[in-house]
Amino acid sequence: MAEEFKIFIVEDDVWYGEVIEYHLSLNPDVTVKKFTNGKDFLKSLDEQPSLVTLDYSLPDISGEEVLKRIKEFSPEIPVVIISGQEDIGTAIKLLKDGAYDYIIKDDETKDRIWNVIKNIREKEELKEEISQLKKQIVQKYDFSKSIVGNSSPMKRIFSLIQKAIGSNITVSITGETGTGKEVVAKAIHYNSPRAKKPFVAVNITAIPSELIESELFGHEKGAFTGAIARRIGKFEEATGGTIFLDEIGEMDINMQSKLLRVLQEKELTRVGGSGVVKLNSRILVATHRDLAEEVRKGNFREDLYYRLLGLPISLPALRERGNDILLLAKHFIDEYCSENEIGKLSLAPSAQNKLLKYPWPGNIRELKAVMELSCVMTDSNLIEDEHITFNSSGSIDTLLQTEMPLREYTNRIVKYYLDKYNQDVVTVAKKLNIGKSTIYRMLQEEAAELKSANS
Amino acid sequence: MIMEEKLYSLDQLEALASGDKAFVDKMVDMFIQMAPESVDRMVTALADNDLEDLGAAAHKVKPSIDMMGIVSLKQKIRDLEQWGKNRTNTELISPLLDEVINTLNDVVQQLKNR
Repeated sequence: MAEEFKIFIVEDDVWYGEVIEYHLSLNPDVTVKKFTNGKDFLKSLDEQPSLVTLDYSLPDISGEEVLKRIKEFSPEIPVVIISGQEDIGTAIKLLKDGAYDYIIKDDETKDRIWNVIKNIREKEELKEEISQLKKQIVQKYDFSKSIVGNSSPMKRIFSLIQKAIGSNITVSITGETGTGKEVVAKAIHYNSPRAKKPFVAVNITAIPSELIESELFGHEKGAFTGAIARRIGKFEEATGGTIFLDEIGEMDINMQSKLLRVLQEKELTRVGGSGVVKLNSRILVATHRDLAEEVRKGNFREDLYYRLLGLPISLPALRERGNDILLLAKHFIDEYCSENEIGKLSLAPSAQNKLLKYPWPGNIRELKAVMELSCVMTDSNLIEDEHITFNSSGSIDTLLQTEMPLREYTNRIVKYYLDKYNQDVVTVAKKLNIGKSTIYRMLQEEAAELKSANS
Repeated sequence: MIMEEKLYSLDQLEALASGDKAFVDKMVDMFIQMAPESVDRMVTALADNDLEDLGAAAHKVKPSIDMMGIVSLKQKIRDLEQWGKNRTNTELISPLLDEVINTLNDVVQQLKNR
């Protein structure tokens, strides 16, 4: 049911007021209250009308004064001036003073008022929608829900995020590709006092080096070929909020000096401009590189490094997070089921084992993709190991990144060959030049281990 | 028998009322009651040489004259409003006011007899 729309008509012409009241009351969603003088109306302002139609020529107080008092009481209340005469100068002044519209009393007045009501209601609905979406974003990035993990490296990360939320310090987030650096940055922003202001993410690698300065600091009209209008940069866009500079390690050395100057001065100048703009945005940076190493190599300015280091949060690779892999896998399965409105799916022990043994070079991003595909591949409510497909390059380097006993490496190689040759033990034994019994024993041991792990 | 020219039209009012006859009757009754009050205010204002108030009174009655379809007064009431407000054409105000009053009286009479 639509919310009640309360219109106050302030009109000393009783006859005309009656006409307007009758016309507006035809809509059942609207309630109308009529006043014939300014004083009575002002006494009722605390009833918070949704719209005021105000006759400019009232007997006791001028329309201008009434408008001023309404705006002092609540600038949000839309006021439509209804005047018996067309006076462009007065109309412009009243609109500048905050009137929503200026309508002349003629045979089109009633239709114009309806248009105003329609526009105001649409605007209100949009405002409500935006407010709801903002709330949803805050809920989405409630980090106790958005960041899944129970491993000890992640407990430390949660503690650091909590510290970052409670202060305004610059945060540098490091971690391999796909470890969730942007998720952490959003969690910090949307749980901080800046949550209602913008979160502006900039991926340095995604912007050509010749455009990065204007993208970050904005430009004035005519600053360069193609600058057809003034444009504010990402730092200004993030005013009051947070700017997240992703892949900061990829920033060109010349641009690093410009960024350093802006951070030191706490103000910036748009490209092609001369005026300064005060900086008021929190800075979060992220990189998959070891910035200290980049400083040593001379690729990253040391002074900028120390200015950006702030509170360092180093995200662990997924392979270092133990059982978090399964927690995350289940989280992604549930998310997939909910988004696609299908019944719950669960992970078979064999699938769990497969997930735990994989080194996850693409980290959480890769896990999400693998789990979504597994949800698609299964024909029942159970995801088994055959539904889990790894797509990363799987180079020998990747395999060796995970330190494990030699026996485990052997098992993985054998399983790889079994998958490749359709579980044909005879062929695999020939290819690897080992006995069939070795393979059977290995499979039996693995089954026994899995059984005890799940009991 | 000479047919008296109808000086008003309720078309706009009836269109707004969408068949609600009671509303039309109510507005007509209100006009019958208020028109003489407006006339009195304008006459008094002219007698007191308070042309600004005469303009204000004309301004106030103008929307109802338009809405009641009194076409012959559409421009005249606007002239009275402007001349009074700006104190222009002062020698023309009195004869124009007479015309407006006569027409309004006739309209009221016609409305009473409708």
